[in-house]
Amino acid sequence: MLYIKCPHCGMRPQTEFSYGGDATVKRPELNKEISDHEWDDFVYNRKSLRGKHLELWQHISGCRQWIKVERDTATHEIFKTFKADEEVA
Amino acid sequence: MSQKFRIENVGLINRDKKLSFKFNGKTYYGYEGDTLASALIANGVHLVGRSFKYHRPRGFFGAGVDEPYAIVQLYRNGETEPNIKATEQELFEGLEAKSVNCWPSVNFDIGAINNFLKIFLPAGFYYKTFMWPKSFWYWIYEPFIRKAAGLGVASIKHDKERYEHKYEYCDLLIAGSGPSGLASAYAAANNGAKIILAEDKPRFGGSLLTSDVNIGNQSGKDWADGIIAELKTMPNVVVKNRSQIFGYYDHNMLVMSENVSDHLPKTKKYHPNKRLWYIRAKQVLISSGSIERPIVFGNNDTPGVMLSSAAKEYLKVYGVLVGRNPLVFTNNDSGYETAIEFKKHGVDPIVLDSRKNPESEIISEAKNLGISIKNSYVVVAAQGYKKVKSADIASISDDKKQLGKMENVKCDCICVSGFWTPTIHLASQSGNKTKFKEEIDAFVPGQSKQSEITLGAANGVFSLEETLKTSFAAGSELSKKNN
Amino acid sequence: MQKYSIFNLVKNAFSGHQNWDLAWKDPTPKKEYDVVIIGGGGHGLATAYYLAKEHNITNVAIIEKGWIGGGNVGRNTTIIRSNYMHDDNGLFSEFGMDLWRKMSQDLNYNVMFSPRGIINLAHSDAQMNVYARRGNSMRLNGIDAELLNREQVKEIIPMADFSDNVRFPIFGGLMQPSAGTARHDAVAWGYARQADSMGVDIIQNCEVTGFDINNGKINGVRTSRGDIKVKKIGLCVAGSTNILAEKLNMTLPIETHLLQACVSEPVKPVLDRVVTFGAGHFYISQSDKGEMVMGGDLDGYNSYAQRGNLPTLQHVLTEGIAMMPFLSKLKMLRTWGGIMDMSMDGSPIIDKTHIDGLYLNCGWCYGGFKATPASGWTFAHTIAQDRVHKLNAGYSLNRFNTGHLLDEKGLGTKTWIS
Ligand SMILES: Cc1cc2nc3c(=O)[nH]c(=O)nc-3n(C[C@H](O)[C@H](O)[C@H](O)COP(=O)(O)OP(=O)(O)OC[C@H]3O[C@@H](n4cnc5c(N)ncnc54)[C@H](O)[C@@H]3O)c2cc1C
Ligand SMILES: [Zn+2]
Repeated sequence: MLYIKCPHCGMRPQTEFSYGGDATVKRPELNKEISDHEWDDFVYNRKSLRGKHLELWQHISGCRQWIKVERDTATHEIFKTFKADEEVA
Repeated sequence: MSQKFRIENVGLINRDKKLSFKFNGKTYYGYEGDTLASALIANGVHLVGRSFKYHRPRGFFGAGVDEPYAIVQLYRNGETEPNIKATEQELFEGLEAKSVNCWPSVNFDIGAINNFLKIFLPAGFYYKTFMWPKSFWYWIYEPFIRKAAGLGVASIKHDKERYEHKYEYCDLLIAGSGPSGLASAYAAANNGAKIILAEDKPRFGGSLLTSDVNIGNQSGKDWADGIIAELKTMPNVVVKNRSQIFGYYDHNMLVMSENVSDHLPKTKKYHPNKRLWYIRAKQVLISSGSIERPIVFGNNDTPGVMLSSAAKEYLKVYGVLVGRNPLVFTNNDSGYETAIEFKKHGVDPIVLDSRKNPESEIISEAKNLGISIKNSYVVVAAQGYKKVKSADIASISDDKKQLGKMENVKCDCICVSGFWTPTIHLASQSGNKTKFKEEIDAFVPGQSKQSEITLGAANGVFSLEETLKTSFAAGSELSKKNN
Repeated sequence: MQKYSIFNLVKNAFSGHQNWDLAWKDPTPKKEYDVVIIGGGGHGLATAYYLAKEHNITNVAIIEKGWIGGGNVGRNTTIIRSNYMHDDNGLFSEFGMDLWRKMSQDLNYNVMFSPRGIINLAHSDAQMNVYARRGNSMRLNGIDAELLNREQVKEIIPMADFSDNVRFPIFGGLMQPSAGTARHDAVAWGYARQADSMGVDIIQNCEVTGFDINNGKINGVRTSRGDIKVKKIGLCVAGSTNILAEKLNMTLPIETHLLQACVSEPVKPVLDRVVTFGAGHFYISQSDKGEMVMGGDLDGYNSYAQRGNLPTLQHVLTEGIAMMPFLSKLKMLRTWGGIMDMSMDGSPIIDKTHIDGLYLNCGWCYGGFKATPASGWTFAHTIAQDRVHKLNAGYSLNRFNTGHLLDEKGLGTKTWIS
């Protein structure tokens, strides 16, 4: 079971969290004309690669904050966690 | 009924408490501290089941969790449970068990006809046939195969027992209470680390319970008892018997199944049947020991053929003889330990050693005791259907390619030792890739993947002295890291 | 090719089963093929078989990075069904059911297809209504469906929890009597043996590492055992789709996730149907060997690890025990995981792509095993004719762009949304 460091609460078991998917996906800008293709990329298309993956989790049974987690999809190792608004280097 | 194969004054069972139990409808007696297996062997019962496909007679091959054969249907407190290993089930008053996968009885089993058809039933034979005529598969072949499959019978009654879950965190989780587990636990505990020490069996001590060794001026067993007693008094230590670590998951999360009630006739009020522990450990020390390897020969599945370590355990822990006329077949020194135990208890074993001129302290000891030893000899086949009656043996050439003239020797059990295989599955589950160790012809854990270390026999180290030294050092080192 | 039959079984018995032909060869890759199928799972093997059998295209290689059957085709819980409501899914799957019924004879390999029926349990009136609607749609598409009431379900599976005061009372269920299970590795091996006998090269331990594309056209494929020239490539790599898509500069509506399954110790027959829980995600059947085969939900995060964690498994089994309390007494024998190509609407993709000669077969989610024959058949057609068949027309890649999603039950990737 994953052991995730919530930047607000500390080390917590995976069962306290809910998964939110790829954190690198950016919503197209508001009030700007966008193509179906861009919209597609935002809603459906995902890289989902093997290796380092930046993803969203929500600490639903804790502080209920959304956080970002950098994790390896092959080994499940977690490298680093970030607050939702924190820049990822 | 008497326990004809029980010997006086040996073993760790409680002879003041006699227990009655039933196997296949017949009443027998055993003692508190027995397993169903040891109690049956004490009564001379070796035929306990039938194999899955060919319905060949099945006896006891091991003495614990590694048992492949002695699988029974258990009846306890009005409930029934399939596929219980007789070697793991502790005896309680009123226990009832039955053989599985045989009809009408284990003694006379119709399914054994498959044994005579076996040349037509190679592995995967079903892929190649049962296709014609097409509709027969649905109405005849498959229902027939389904009926033949499965071992025990699952009760479809609602399970009324309770099961508990528990979360724990510790600095050091130690899996196995043999010499390496105890030495490391002791060292780490004295450094103040928070420890969980788990032992699968009811008794702590692992190999120390059956080997004739001294640690300091104590017997191995007394040393183990002393350490356990001391650990139990320490507030930073949790010591659990009947508790098996069965899974190693991501981020050093392990799971342990604690048997709380299955060794009792009835679960106590407010008690669970079992307890599942989720343990998040900073460090894991795997001291799960090793399992003896069988040797291949004809009919080596006949009841009465078993691991030499199991024969020794039945003798030393339960005071039970697995035979009165044993043949010990070994390719290493371990078989001699079993032979010596037999000899000490008035039984004359014959040792067949596949090696040409082995020399060691224990072999000299065996010779001095007057044990008959045949070097460069092997068992070619066991004879006897429901129980070993004799063995076909022959000498073997130095290059192990030529057999000499076949002889037949009478015996009532064959205790085999093909050396030892480290119990490494927990390390493997952590993601550790195993490596092959030539000297012991076996796999051992390689580079640690998570925070785990494997020590003692589980790491392919079979010397007690070295095991104690490295384990003590590891225990104290690992606990320093965390404080 | 040597025929598999009781006569040959007996004949070979007398030579100690030493003289059977190899079921398939181990060829070295040629320099050039007409078609290369990437992935030796069920879908890849079936595609090659139907290319040879239905379209006479036999200069074909299947390239598999590990061994055939080592992927999801050997890891699934073997449920075969066509109990879908949408036409595209129902008709495609029912076409597959027909192929399943003939498969053992067709392949001369007993795949042990066992149409024992599947029951989806309902635990509320609302759910019964939904099932009635689905059952009606199925019947309109010629698929057998029966709505069962509580008493009827009880007669068939008395071991389910029908007691009072139960958390998820059983109101009834939807049954598809012709659904069932099959032996999964036999399916892979049966297709492989026939494909091989018709001239297809099955190349194992060979990983595709890149593509040779010229002017938007497939020219070849790069592998760990050298480059191969080819004009048509069928991509059938299930959970590894995204990795190869990246090498093609494509981003797909797919995520790779981890699904676990487990089996209990073998016990004498107690359950002769496939049953699914309606108040969660859990399914169970009993194999011919006697093991209870069980599975449920994804572990819930993108993963390429073919091993899961205990909480998901425990959650899934807790649902199982809620449905059939007797399961709590059974010991678990094995658990394992596979990596799944989860599409965003829960339905697969079998289509051409913007690259000439590149054909896509992916997005199978929880249900790609049952699709093996129909997927192979339609994909072979798509590759051979360079156009989709009407059976897989709904499984287009651009449906995500046009909004024609096939979101049956919405079992896509985003389980956390439901
Ligand atoms: C636990 C579990 C339970 C399931 N239960 C069911 C069920 O009950 N019913 C059902 O219908 N479906 C079920 N499924 C789904 C089903 O198994 C899959 O959808 C289906 O098997 C996928 O197609 P496949 O057989 O071709 O995939 P796979 O067998 O995974 O084949 C893909 C192959 O591609 C190979 N490959 C990958 N990358 C490369 C490369 N670069 N080069 C060469 N080869 C490569 C892989 O090694 C693999 O062998 C289940 C899946 C899982 C994991
Ligand atoms: Zn938090």
